[in-house]
Amino acid sequence: MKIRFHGRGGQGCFTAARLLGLAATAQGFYSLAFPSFGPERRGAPVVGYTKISDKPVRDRSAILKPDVVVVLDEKMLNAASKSGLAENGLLLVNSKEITELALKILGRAVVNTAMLGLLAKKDIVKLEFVEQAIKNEFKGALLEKNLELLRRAYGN
Amino acid sequence: MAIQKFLSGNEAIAEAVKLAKPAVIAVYPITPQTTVVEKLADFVANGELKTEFINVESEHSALSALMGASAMGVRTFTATSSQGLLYMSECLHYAAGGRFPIVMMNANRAVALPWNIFGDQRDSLSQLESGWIQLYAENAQEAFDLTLSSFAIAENHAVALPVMLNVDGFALTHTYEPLNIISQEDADKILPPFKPFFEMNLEKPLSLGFSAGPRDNTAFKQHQINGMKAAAKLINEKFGDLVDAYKLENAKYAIITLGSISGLVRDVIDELQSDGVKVGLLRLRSLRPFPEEELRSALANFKTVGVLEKNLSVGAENAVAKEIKSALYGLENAPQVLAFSGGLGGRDISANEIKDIISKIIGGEK
Repeated sequence: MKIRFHGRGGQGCFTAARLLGLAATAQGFYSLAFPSFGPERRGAPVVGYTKISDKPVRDRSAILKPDVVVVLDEKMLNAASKSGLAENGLLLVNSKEITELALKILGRAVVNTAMLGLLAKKDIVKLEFVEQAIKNEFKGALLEKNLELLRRAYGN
Repeated sequence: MAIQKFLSGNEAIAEAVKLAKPAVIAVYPITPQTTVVEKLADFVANGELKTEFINVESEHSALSALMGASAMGVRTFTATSSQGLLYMSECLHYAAGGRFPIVMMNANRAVALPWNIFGDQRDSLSQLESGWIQLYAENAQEAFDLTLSSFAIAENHAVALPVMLNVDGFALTHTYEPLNIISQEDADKILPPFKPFFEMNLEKPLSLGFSAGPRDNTAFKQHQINGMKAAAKLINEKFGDLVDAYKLENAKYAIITLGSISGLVRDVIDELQSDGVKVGLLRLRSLRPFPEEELRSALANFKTVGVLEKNLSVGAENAVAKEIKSALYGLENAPQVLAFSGGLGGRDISANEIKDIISKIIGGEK
């Protein structure tokens, strides 16, 4: 399973890819997660990659033919983000509702954990392991808010 | 007891350094090594690692400071990359000639110009003759394991040479993957406390960093060669061999690699062998000491081998390919050696490109 995330620097695009990898590992799979390499700049287009398998993942090359594409910034829904997506592949795009949900819960339009909720809803990874990954990443109020956002997005 | 974590290559190395407990760390941050420095600084700040952490003003100073610390008889660590490694170049020869058992992680990165912060192996390969042991890791687990091994190798009294542990910039340093982190108790078994074989001591004065004129200079170099030979023996006996052969048994053709691209090459070999293609992989884990005997015995009956390195020698055959040729020289029916450059300046290498390289190896063409 190859998942490619598209967003802009500062939207938590690679964090989403990494948390998905961590969740998949907790669920008992092997995984590899890496960002589009290079200087990190807020606002610049970024890509995050997650590869999940029941065997050790040895291929570190960029994902050119994803099974799933997740677009965190709907303005980036274009030929580049959709490139190589399998015909029966899954395309998840951030919506107005998800952004509003993030604004309401986090106070910021950061939708990465919400998108992980949608991936769990589509059975890419189980919700409980995404929760585990988020607990590993955040602390205190931010943890509670991200868990709420994840669960609300999952339940939508 | 080992615990499984999901870490980047850089984080894995920092975890291993914490377990190795060096008394002095002197570092200057440079992409893509920076997160090693950050993680170690965190460990020092939160009390998990007790070490003299020196924020130096340059890489040249980092290695100079560590030579001083090492001369005082303590374990030392640094990390660098690319331009930083080249800025150290003078000190690299110095540390090896001085027999300081320093361990350094190098995040393999392109060298300027054109300016490029992405991964390739031109930095370390340009320093092959500095007298350092040079190891190359394939994945985060091996980077973790080899960090501990590197201290044990460097500090072995028969070796007494600095070790450069190379990990591919970004492809390894910034990629997250599951790996097992061993306990402090198990780490201490692999790596006992440092016992220096020389140290500055006012009770027993000795001369370090001395000069040796025309009469004695060669003898010191012979001692370094002996240290390298001891390192080869030690690595083969205790630290997983100088080379790593994958599905070579029934192969006639081989692809030779170093570093993290080897994982994808394994995937391609699995696929091609299931289609009956007789190709295997030989991965170089060590370039210094160079595995000459191992190459001669592993590849004696091969028809053609191709060397894929993230490197380009301008005006000559690629550095690693040239060394493979030299190792195989004089064998009866020695295999043909083809040189391939890939991944320069961080360029992605795909499975299809590996297949193209393998078909060129089988076709015997450049």
